[in-house]
Amino acid sequence: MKDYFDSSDSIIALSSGSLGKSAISVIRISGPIEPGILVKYLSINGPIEPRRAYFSKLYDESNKLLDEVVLTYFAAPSSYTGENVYELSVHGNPLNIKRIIRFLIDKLDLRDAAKGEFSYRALRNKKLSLNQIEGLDLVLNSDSGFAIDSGLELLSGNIDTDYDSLRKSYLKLVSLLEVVINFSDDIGEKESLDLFKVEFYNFKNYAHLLKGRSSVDGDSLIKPKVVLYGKPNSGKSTFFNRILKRDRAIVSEIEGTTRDYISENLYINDINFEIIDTAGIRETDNLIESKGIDFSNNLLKRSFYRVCLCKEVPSDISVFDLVIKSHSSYGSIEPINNGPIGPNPSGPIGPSPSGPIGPSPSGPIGPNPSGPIGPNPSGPIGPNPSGPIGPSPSGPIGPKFNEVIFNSESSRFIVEADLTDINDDFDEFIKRLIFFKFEQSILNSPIVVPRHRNVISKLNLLIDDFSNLLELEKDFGIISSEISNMGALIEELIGQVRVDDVLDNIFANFCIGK
Amino acid sequence: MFDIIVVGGGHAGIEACHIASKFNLKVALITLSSVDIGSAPCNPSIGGIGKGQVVREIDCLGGLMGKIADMSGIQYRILNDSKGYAVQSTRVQIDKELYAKNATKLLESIEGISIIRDKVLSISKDEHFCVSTREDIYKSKKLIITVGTFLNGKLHCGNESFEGGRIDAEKSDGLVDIFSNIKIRNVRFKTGTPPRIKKSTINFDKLIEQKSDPETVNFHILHDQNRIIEQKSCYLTHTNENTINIISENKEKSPMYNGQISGTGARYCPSIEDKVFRYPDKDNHHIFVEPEGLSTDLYYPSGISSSLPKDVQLEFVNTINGLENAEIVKYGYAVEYDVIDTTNLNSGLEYIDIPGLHFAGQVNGTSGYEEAAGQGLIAGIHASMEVLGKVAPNLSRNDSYIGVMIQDLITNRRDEPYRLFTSRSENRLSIREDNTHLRMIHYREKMNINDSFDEYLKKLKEESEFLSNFIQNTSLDLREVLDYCDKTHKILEKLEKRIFVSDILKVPSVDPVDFLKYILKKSNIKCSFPTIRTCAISSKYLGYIDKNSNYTRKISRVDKMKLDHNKLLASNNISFECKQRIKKVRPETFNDLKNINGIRQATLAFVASGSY
Repeated sequence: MKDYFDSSDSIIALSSGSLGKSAISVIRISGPIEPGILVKYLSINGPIEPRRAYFSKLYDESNKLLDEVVLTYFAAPSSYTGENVYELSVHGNPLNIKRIIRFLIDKLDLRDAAKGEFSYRALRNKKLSLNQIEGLDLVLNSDSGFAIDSGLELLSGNIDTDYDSLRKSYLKLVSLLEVVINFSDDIGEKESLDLFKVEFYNFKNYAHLLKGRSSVDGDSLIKPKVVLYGKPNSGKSTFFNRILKRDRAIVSEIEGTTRDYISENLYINDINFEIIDTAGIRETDNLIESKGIDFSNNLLKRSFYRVCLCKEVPSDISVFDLVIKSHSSYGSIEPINNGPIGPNPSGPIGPSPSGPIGPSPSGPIGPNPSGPIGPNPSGPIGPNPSGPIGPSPSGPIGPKFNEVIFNSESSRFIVEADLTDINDDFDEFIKRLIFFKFEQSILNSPIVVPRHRNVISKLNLLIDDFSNLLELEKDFGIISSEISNMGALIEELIGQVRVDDVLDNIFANFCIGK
Repeated sequence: MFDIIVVGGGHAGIEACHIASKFNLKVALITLSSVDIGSAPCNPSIGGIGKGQVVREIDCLGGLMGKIADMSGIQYRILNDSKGYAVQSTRVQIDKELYAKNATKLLESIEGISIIRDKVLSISKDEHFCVSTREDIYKSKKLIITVGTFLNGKLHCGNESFEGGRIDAEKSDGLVDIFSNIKIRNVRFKTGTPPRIKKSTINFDKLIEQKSDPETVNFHILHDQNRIIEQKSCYLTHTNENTINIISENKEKSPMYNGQISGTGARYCPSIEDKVFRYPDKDNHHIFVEPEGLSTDLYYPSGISSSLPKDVQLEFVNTINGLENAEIVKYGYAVEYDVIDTTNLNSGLEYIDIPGLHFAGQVNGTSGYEEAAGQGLIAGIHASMEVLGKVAPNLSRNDSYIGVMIQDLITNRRDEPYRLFTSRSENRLSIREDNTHLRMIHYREKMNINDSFDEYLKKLKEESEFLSNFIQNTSLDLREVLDYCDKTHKILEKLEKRIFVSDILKVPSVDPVDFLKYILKKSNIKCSFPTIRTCAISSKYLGYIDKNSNYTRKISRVDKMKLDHNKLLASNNISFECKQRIKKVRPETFNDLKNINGIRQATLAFVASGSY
C-alpha cells in the first residue's frame, strides 16, 4: 500500500483477462501523463481529444511498427481513476502485449500497477466510495449471479435504504440525547427522556434488521453449499450422483465409504451451488473418519441447504431443510436414534424466534399461514395438490416418487423415495426446493460484504450491551459516550454523521429557547 | 499612548482589559457613557449548560466573570442535577444592578486601567492605532473591539423601529464607517428580549417556586461554599391555548413576520412568535419567571421574547397563569446588528489583514454573556502577550469549551448567532466543570503570570496526583465497603474479598464523590473538596473515556494529521477556490481543513491520502 500513496507515478496494466491468446486485449494507463507524450509514438495527427476512439499505428522509437491499436483517452478528472486514463486495445497475443507494455514503461516512464491500484486511485480521488469498491470486487471476483447483482447495486452508489434508515434514526437519537442534556427545561424532563428511549428502541430495531440481513452467511449465498447429511450408508452418495447425473462419489454397500467429503458444482437456474457429500456420521475409532465427521459438523454451520438422508426420520428435523427417507436397495435398514447432529436449538437455522430464517411469524419461510411455503394449503409450493410445483402426482411437474409429506410441526418436507428407482422429476423437484430457498434468502437482501457484516455485528453487540446499561445507568455523560461509539461505527459503515446535522435536526423538530 | 485600547465595556471588554492589566500593561477601556459596564441587557443569569463550563474556564484562566457572578448571585442551580456529573452545569441568577456595580468597582480599582466614557467616532492605523472619540484622540499598540450589538443597531417593537444598540442606549455607527477595510457579513443578525414584568402584579401563589440550591459550588474557585448575598427564588409557569391564539391573530403585526426585520435570529433562542408559528401543535411552553435583582421591582419572564406591538404583548402576557394582572414595565423588542466575518480572524481573534486588531464578543456573531467573556479573555491574552513579545497559548478544542468555540468561529461562517452546546465538544466526559482547574493549569503556566493564584492551582494539581494514585492503588476490605453500603442502602454486585477503590467508584449505583469522601475520612486523609470531586468523577469515567477513544481513534487519527498549509497552497491538485479558503483559515490539522466551509471532497480525499 505504501507505493500507492505516491501519486506522481503513472501506472500501466493489462485490464482485460489473463494472458492467454485472444483477439483483442486492453491495456490501461493512468496518471498525470499528458496525451502529447503518447502521441509521439502514434500515427495520429493533431491533438488527442478525450472520449474519442482513434485507430492508430504504434511505433517504437526507431519508427518500427509495434502494433495497430485503438486508443481512447479519458481526461482527468472525468475518468475511472480521476486521473488521465488511456485505454489501448491491442492484438491479444501474450507476447505482443508484453512487448507493448515493456515499451511503454520504458518510454513513458510508467510502472506496473500493483494489484487493485486503479481502483485504489479511483477511491482516493473519490471517484468511487469504499462501498463501491467492495461492489466492484464482488462484480469482478465472484462467480454467482446473485453476488454480481449485489456488487452492481453497491457499485451504482445506491445507499442501502436500511443503512439510510439506521443513519436517520441515529441522527434522531443523538438529537434527542442533546435535547435531554441541553433543553429539558424547554421540552420537559420526562417528555424528553421518554422520546429518547422510544427512539433508542427504534434505532435498535434498525440495527437488528441489518443484523438479520447479515446473519445469513455471506459466503453461503455467494456460492451456496448444499450439504448432504445422514448416517452411514443412508444413500447420500447415491443422491449426490443422481442430482449431478454422473458417478462422482464412490458408492458401496460398506458403511463409511465416504470418508472425506466430495464437492461438485451444481447449477440451478444459473446459480452456482456447491453440493457436498459429507462423511457418514457414526461413532468411530477410525481417526481419518472422525476428522471427516468433525468437518461435516462444521459444514453444518456454514451450509446453505441441508439435506438429511435417512432410513428412519429423526425425531427432530428442524435443523434440516429437507429430509429424504430412502429405500436404497443397498445395505440393511437399521433403526436410527437421535444422531449426533440432532436438535440444536442454537443452530443457525434452528427455531430461534429472532433467527433470520427461523419460523418467525414474519420470516420469509416461517410457518406463517400466509408464508410462501408455509403449511397453508394455498401456499405456492405447499403440499396442496393444486400448488404449482406441489408434489401431487397430478401437478404439472409432480414427481413420480413414492410420497411427500409436509411436516407441519417443523415446516419441513419429508420425501420418501427409492433413490435407485425414480425418474428425473424427483431431481427437478429437489432442485426447485433448493432454488426456492435461495430466492427467499435473496428477497431479504442479505449483506454479503465482510467489512459491512463485521461492523454491523460490532454495532449490535454495542447496542445490546447498552440496552442493559440503560436500565442501570442514569449518567448521561456515559450514555452519550456510548452512543458516540455507535456513531463511530455508523460512520465507518456509511460515512459522516456531523454535529451540525444533529443540531439542525434538533431545531427542526423541537421548540427550544428563551 | 496605551499598550491596549478596548472599545466596549460589556462582558468581553471587561475580561480583555482586566487580563491585560494582569500582564502589567497600560490599558484604556472606552465605553459609552449611557451604558453600564458589565450590563446584562437580556436574561438575568450567568452560566447554563456548556456556558457554566466556560465561566469556570474563564475563572481558572484568571478572568473576572465567575467572581462578579458570585458577588452578585441571588440564586444558584445545578442544571442536569440528576443526569450525571459530565453533563452538569452551574447557572446563577444575578442581581443585574449589582453585577454592573461590582464590575465597574473592580475595574476602577485596577491602576493599569483607564476607563474613558466617550463615543468612538473613527479609528485609523499607521504605526499605531489611533482612536478618535467625541472628546479626544487616543493611541495604542493593540486594539480590541467588543461592541456587541451596537454596530448599526436597529430596534424593533411592533411597527416602531429606531436606531440604537439597546432600548435605552444609542447605537454606534457601522464599523465600515469607523474603520474601512473591515469585512462585515452581508447578513445581519437579530436577537430579542422579552417584556419585563412588575413584581407587585405577579400572583406568585399560582407559580411553582424554585429555591436556590445551597449545594451548588460557587463559580470563583477561591470562594468558599457560602453565598455572598441574600438568595431569592425563581418561578415556573406555562403558556396556554389563549396565549397562542392571541399571538396567531397578530401575526401580521410582528416585525419578524411582516418583513420589517431582515436579520437572522438563532433557532435556539426563538421569540414566542417563532415558537407559535413554527410549532403550531404545541401550546404549553415553559416560562421561568426570574428576579432581575434584590431591590428591583423587575421580573424577567424567560421564554417569551417578543417584538410584537406593546398592546399585544400585554394581552398575551395576561393570559399566562399567575400573570393575569401583570403590568409590563419595559416592553420586549428585537435588535438587528452587523457582525464581522470571523473567518478573517486567527486563533487569537486577531483580524489577519490588520495585525494588532482583535474582535471579541457578540460582534463576532455569538450570543450569550459567557461566550462574549470567553472571547474577550482570549483576545486580551493574545494582544497582551504580543505586546510583551511572547507567544500566547491557543486553547485546544480537546480540553476546553473556549477552544471549541474559537475554532468553530474562525473556521466557519454561521447563518445564525453562535452559541455553545456541550454537543459541540467531542469530549464531553473529560471536559467537565469539576475538572476545569486541571484543564486550565497548563494554559496558565504558559501565560507566565506567576501570582498566588498559580500557586493555588499548582497545589490542587499536586493534591490530585496524590489522590489519583490512592484511588488506583488502594484496595479495601469488603467489610469497609459493606459498612458504607449499609449506611446508604445501596447494593454492590459481585463483591470480592478485597476490592480496589477505583472499581467501586465505577459502580453505577454508587455516587463516586460521596464514597470517596467517606473512605478518605475513614482513612484519615485530608483533601480539598475540588480535588476529591474531580478525582472521584474522573475515576468513574476513565474506562468509558478509553473505550470512546478506541472507537473514534480511526476517525481522529486522520483528523489529527498535521498539515503544512504552505505545501497545500503549492500543490497542483487543489483547486484555486479551495486554496483561497486554505489561505484564509490556515488549517493546522486535517480536522481544521475538514471544518472549513465549502472545501471540496476531492481536496479532502487528496489530503487524507497523504499525497499532497
